[in-house]
Amino acid sequence: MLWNDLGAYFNPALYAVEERELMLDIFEAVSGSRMMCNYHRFGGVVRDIDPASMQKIKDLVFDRLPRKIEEFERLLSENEIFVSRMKGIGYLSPADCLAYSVTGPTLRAAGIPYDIRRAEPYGIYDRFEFDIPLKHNSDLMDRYLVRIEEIKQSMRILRQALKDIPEGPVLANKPTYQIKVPAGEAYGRVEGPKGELGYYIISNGKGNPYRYHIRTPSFVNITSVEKMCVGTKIADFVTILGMVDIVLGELDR
Amino acid sequence: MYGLGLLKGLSVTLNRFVESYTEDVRWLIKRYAKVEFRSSKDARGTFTIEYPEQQVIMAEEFRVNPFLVYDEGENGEKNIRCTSCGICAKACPPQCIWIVRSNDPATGRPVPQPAEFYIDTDICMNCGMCAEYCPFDAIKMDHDFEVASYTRSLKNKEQLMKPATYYKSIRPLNFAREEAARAEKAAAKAAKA
Ligand code: SF4
Ligand code: SF4
Repeated sequence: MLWNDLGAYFNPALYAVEERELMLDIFEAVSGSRMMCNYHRFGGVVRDIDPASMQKIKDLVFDRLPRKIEEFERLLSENEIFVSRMKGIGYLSPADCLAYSVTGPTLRAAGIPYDIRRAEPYGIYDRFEFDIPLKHNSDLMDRYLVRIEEIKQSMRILRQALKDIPEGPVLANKPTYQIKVPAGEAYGRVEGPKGELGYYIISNGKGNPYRYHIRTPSFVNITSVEKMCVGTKIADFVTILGMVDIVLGELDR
Repeated sequence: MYGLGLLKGLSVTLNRFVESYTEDVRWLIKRYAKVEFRSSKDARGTFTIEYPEQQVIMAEEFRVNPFLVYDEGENGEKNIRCTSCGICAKACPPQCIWIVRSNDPATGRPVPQPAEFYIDTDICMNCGMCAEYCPFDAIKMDHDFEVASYTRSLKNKEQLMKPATYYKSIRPLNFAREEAARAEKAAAKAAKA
């Protein structure tokens, strides 16, 4: 996204798409569909990962992706055009970050080490060893570096997960397509690549939720664009917008 | 030195540029093996697959549009597995399955076979829930993804029916697993009786 906006027309973005494509191949082999995986069930997942896909995941994590990340950094991190377009641009003070409820890499580049995987560990994240990448300048360059570092940390988590992945049943209870939830409300949140992704559900005891709201990180993060833009050049707007890293599906709330 | 980072980046691009040609030459003869290579961890060179001449390797679990499985009888009759229990229609999230139950014309009692079975494949979102919850392995997901059409594609029972041999050919592992489970069940039943 960002690199496109910066005039590096399609090259870096498409290099990244290659890796994404290989990952989606795995998604497809395991769950049956590239995007609409429909893999989770109440109490587990639908089927186990087949050995061939498992091997492919290991190949990617241990062999290919580290190579590719290194190549990526060589391609971009020191590129003078890239750096000069990003250093010192789009400053957002830590106080403003909090005031705008910004989450994700933008917040961490402002020096606030907030990551839900640490702040409120869910799943099995309390068992993994990983660092929360942190920068302090709160400009575009730092946000970029935080993201790159996050990819490396994700790989670290993946390596630990792959080492200890257990065998066994993948579904705890009998398969059901609908469950009755007791009346009440709940908010669950996870750390997405773009920030806090939360789901708020109210149940009135029936099979379908009474009210359902998704807190998407893009939708909240984009509100801070104004603050970042005031005082910068028009040409910098695209860069700032690119670095917020919006997904339009998330913005459409 | 100013510009060094730029050159470093460009060397990556140049490398890729050269690779895309050397790889093409390498796979000139075995163009179809290239697809396999492109999906492996060492993939290099041009990444695009030239559909329809080349096609990606299809995973067994890949799913589009459900179909009804029938077993072929000895003299060519089609024994549909579906018992019109209606579980798939209930499980289907966008509710695109319609089933009409059938009665025996002589006695008026219901028989375990659908008279009509419709799936609106335009509404179907290929989730695979119907295939998952059917207790008789009667409805399964297809691999045929070339489904573009000019008209609405509401499919009836005739269009949906496909033989069990076809199912076996697209999902050999699943088929073997289900057959084994069925054989086991039958054996258990026989032992009880
Ligand atoms: S396809 Fe399966 S679940 Fe659906 S009505 Fe027939 S037997 Fe029941
Ligand atoms: S695949 Fe999903 S949407 Fe399509 S008919 Fe089956 S349950 Fe319904």
